[in-house]
Amino acid sequence: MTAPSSDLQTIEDLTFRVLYRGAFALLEVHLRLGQTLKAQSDAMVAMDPTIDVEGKMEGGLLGGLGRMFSGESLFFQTLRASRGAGVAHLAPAQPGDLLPIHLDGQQTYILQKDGFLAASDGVSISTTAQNLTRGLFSGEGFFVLKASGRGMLFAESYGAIHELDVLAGQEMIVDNGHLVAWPESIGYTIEKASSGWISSFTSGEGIVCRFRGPGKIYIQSRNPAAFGAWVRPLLPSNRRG
Amino acid sequence: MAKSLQPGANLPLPSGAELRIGIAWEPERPGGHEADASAFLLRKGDQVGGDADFVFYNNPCSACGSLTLNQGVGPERQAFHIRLGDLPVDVAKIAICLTLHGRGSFAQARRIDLRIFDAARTELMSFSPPTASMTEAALILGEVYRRNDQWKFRAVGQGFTGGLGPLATHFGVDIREETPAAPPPPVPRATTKVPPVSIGKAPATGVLPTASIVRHSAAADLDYEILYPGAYTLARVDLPRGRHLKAQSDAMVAMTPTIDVEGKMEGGLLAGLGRLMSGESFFLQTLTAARGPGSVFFAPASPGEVVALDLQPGDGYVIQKDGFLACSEEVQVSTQVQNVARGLFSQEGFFILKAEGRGLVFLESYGAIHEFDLQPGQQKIVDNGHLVAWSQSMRYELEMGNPGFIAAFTSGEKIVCRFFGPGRLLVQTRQPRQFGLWISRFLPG
Repeated sequence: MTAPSSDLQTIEDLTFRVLYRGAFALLEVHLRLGQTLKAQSDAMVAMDPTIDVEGKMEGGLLGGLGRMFSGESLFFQTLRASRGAGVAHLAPAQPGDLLPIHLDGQQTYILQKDGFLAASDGVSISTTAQNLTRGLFSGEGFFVLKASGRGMLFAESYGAIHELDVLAGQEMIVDNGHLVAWPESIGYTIEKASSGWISSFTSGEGIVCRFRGPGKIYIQSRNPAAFGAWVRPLLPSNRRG
Repeated sequence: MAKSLQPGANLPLPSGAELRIGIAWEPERPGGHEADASAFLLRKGDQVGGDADFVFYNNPCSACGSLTLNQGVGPERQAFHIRLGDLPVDVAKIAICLTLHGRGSFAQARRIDLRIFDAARTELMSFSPPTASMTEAALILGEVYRRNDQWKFRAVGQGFTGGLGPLATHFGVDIREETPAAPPPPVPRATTKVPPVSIGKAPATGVLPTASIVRHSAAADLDYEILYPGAYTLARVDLPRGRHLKAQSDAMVAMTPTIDVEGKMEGGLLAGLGRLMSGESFFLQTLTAARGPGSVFFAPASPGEVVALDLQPGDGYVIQKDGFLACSEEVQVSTQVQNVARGLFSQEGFFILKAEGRGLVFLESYGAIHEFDLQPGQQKIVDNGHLVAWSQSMRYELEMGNPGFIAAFTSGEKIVCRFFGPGRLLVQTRQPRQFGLWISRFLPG
């Protein structure tokens, strides 16, 4: 295949590359004997027979419940190279790109609730509800995932991933449905879409986040909910539910 | 002792201290629609004195500071706090309202309760409007009004057709959109440079599939960029202060805080209705660089490409109904029904948009966009479902794709368009309806 891909690289003891960047990105990881990787359940595409897959609830029962609330599967998969070194391939369910994020032990990243694909062993994932008083009149909760620790984190998107480098003193407003990941250190508030008069009930936007630099945020170029609204009228009428 | 009011009944209110008017409703989203409380400070003739007299989620505090919208207590979802004694003397009445976002009605609410408490949190009165037979998405719950220096509350429970927008208009809030005015004088290029706002960079460890280039539209005098061409194209436009962009609603992905988003009905009410019928959203968004230069990122709902066209006067384009993504302010967009009699056998009729004037138009597609430059005398037959846009000057005819009537129902072709050159023709490499049929075979259930 000639699709663009990145070279194998090793960061934080994890060797990986991202193949076919764009609509159908694929993650390839090379695990040493005994090395593990946690992944969104159903992420495994292919693996060497030296690798075992275990269902595992991250963070115990409550952590698992929290994850369920946030719309994620209750269980993670753990891929363990228990009988020797091996290669595993992982992919998101939806069409879209992958974003490798290096966690250095200092910086915690926040992922939108559907944004987690995989992480190396040193990364822990938890669920958190955003400060709802910030989203006072938003009418809907806003659950996100928090990734902390040291290792590699792989976020998934629907659509292409775009980096916005918000400089100190700058602000950027992002539609909630287009968020992928951002560092916890960047300040942000949740708002209704329009700050202008009257606007938010006539424009199509729902909730937006206002980020205050400095920091890099990652957004996706498509909105899954908008895609759903687009595809629904295209389905034969007995499938529209 | 709290009194339960019937519609039309009124009771006096103590004016010395702060009152809380708590509003509770169940379920939280009646019929799936978000509900919002709002209040209007009404002066002479039951009209607001200005937009700041309209207190709602985007303006939670009146200009005088004596009426605020807050989170409710206990079962209340939202609450107003009012200091009656501090209200401007010409405020004669405050209308307390609840509206649904979208096309629902309050019949979908199990119950709605309004309760008024004094500063000691003693409940003074309550009102639970009957909503079972309501068809409206806006509800005037009650009025706080002044009668001979005595403040009173009257229970109303009256529905209002059309939701928050028409309700606000009714009370004199100016949500009228400006009529198409002369485009702003062109700003000298030297001063339109927008401070660099994070142009696309590859994520730290990644390789992005394609490079993008920043381009300049001479017709609109705007810089723009098409990022990630292919399935998930993202577009960026840099707006000098005061300029604006009209976009398909929900197109905005991210923007600098100098940009205001407004819902706007292009060409007045009828044109807006036209847009609704053609399958487009009722409203376009207007993105205005109101507080300084800024950047807007926007994207279509569907997977596919974004193409920018520089429009010159007399050089308009016809755009299929889902093909419009955004345009610069000077471009006029209108809706038309095309050759209905000829399109008789097409299930959806054949609605189109026209974009005319001088400026920049962004088209969206499902799939990639392929261009034909038809020469004089050249013809091209295109499946209706693959059309994106074509030169307005180009003649075309609708035809049945296959010979015979039956074929139209069994093949995917149905309607085709025969175009006669010269002109520019843009088609999309995939057809949404075929995608729908294809994916429906793989949906569970």
